[in-house]
Amino acid sequence: MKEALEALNALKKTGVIEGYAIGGAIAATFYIEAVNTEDLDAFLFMSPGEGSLLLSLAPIYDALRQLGGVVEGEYVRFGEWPLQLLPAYKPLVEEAIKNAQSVKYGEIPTRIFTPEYLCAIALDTGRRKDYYRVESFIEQQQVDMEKLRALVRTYGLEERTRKVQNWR
Amino acid sequence: MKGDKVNQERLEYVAKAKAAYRRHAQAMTWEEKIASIVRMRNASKIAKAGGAVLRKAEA
Repeated sequence: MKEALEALNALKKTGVIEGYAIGGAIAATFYIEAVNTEDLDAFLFMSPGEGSLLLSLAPIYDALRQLGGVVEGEYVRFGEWPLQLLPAYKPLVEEAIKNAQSVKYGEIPTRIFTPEYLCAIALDTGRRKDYYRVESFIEQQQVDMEKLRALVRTYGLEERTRKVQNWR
Repeated sequence: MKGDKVNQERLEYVAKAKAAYRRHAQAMTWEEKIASIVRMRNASKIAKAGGAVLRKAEA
């Protein structure tokens, strides 16, 4: 995973992306018990290329290839970790990246979503495993419920909370 | 009842073991947790491959 994080940091340093934050199971694992996953999800801030209104991931894939990544479909593999690149596609995700917290993986600095944004995005995604993740955060007392409730209100996720068995 | 007592003891043992497991799991660093995910993933691959071998043998 170290190689993937170093590559993401290099993309930011060279201006290929404006910023990033790790989300999904890998970020959740920072706060709660390890959650099995196949990949590393990186949410990206990026701007359209010069003279274009469309966002393209192509320059990012090219840069990652130069940094030693192996493109496999929608993933770029670094060692045993497939990295999935997800452009910030909605306001909730943009806000999550802006409010991400800086942490270190070993000696490598990186940024991860806070528990509240991880839970809000999980509610928004709405698969069974996402609700289970929210339940784990609540059960392990790793989420500030006041902040999470505020995000739920802002992003209209109230209905989704009914599917979280220990929601309070 | 004797049976109830045994079950109660077992329940307490399981609850204690679960709590100890949880304390250990939560005390791990991020790096240790990621390493455990890699182990889980590899074990799952081996299990799947084993399943394939068994299915082939059965065919």
